[in-house]
Amino acid sequence: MNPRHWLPTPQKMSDAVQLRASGFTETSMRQSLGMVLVLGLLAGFIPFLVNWEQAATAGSALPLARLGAQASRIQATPLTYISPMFDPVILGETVQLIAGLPQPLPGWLAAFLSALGEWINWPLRWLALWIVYGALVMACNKALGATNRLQPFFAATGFAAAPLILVGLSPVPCLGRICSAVGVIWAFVVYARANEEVTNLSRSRSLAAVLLPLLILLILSLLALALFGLLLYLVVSAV
Amino acid sequence: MCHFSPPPKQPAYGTVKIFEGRSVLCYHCRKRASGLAQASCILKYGPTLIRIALRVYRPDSLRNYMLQPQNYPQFIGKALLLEPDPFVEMVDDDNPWIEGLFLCATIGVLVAAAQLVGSLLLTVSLPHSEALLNMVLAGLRQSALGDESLLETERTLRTLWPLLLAYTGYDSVGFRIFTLAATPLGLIGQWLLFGLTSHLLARAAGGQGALGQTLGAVALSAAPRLLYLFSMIPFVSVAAVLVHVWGILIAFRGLEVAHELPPWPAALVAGGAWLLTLLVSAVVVLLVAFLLFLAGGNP
Repeated sequence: MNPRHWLPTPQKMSDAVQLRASGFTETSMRQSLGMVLVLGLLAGFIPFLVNWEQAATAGSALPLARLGAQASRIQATPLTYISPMFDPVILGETVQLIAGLPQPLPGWLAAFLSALGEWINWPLRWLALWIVYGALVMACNKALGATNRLQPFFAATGFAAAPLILVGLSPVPCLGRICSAVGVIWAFVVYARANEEVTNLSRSRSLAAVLLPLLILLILSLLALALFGLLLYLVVSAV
Repeated sequence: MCHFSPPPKQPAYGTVKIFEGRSVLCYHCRKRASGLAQASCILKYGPTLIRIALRVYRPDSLRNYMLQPQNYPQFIGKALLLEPDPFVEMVDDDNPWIEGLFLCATIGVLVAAAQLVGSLLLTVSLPHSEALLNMVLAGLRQSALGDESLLETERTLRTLWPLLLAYTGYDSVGFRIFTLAATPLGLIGQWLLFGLTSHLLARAAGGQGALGQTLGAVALSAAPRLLYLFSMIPFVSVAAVLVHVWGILIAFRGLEVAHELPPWPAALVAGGAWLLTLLVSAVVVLLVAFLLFLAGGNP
């Protein structure tokens, strides 16, 4: 297996993040797929170490360690304002007790397995974003008059993963959040540029095609959230 | 004038490979061209021309009688990358639906085995489920719920608990052993349903492929389910939306090849067939969940 078949050259990646047109051509979908997976793994490495350390210190799996860490925050939450049946102190204590329950595996091993799972989720999430959002953008591209095919589109848009690697610095205090925000914005710009390059649409049309799915997803999410809130309110009222 | 003559100036990516002894059907003039040099020339140029060469015919002497399992990884990999070769191979096979059946069953067994391992590891990584449930119930008893509401909530939680465990794979190894058989069967059922619906819709949209060819091409849309192999590591979650959307994209390519459909009708057929399959699958899942609910959560 030749790595060159699975990854674009560093020069290509450099060109793409600098928004040069030459960065988005002559790359195959296979290379883009490899790049998304490898960069996703690289970005998730620091969070993996931090997660493992956090879970190993708690001596439990990562979700339980996180739950335990949230206990004091839950106790400070004014849940009684929402419904008198939730006592934040009791809820916080229950959460702490659940987090402290012993598991069959040694704590460090349970911590490692859970942190490893979280790490693998990084490239999988990036892959989901690339494929699913790409399919929606492609549909908008076609509706706006683009004639390109799927493979070159996915090959070009995969380069958005290159600046997204900055999100991997998120555990770093203060700086991490800034880096994450820069990474996300930069990735979006690279994505829009790649779409423009591969579809040959005008800049405004290309940008509309990239933004339309975001807008639709946002509206759908707000609707789902409102529906969930209404459902929760009805259940709590009934109890 | 047919697109077989002068190639455009702009080269395109994602070209279709052409093998010796095959011939190519032009979508525009409906004539066939054979010969490696001429076909390569067509296939090398122009995104709008790639569609011309999607349907590749081979003489009987070169027909593929059975795909070799050792070629599956490469075959599936190419389908995931939306390359036309595996669809052409599948459609040209002497028994495409048998290949599809074998492929779906293999993927189903592998995924179920991975989920069983994942379930075991998840169970030993977390506290015992009974202890967890008791702790939640103890917390609930301390809340300000009235006696009647408390009893009702406790009963509902105890009933839903096994379903929650079965869904997450946590402390439900018995259920996962059951899915060793259920997953491949379910996947085969979904494939048959998806294949039949796709075939009917594709025919209605003017497609020309046979049912066996549709089933063969559409079977490759199960390939993204191999991502569930990662679920053998606990706490890995593969987004269902990724698997489904990727599957639709693969089915779209498969229908383009098997039925010689233009992109828009092929996309609509793939999307429509998926919606119908999803609807039927949801009804079946709800029915099974209802039966489990009636049985008190024990499969």
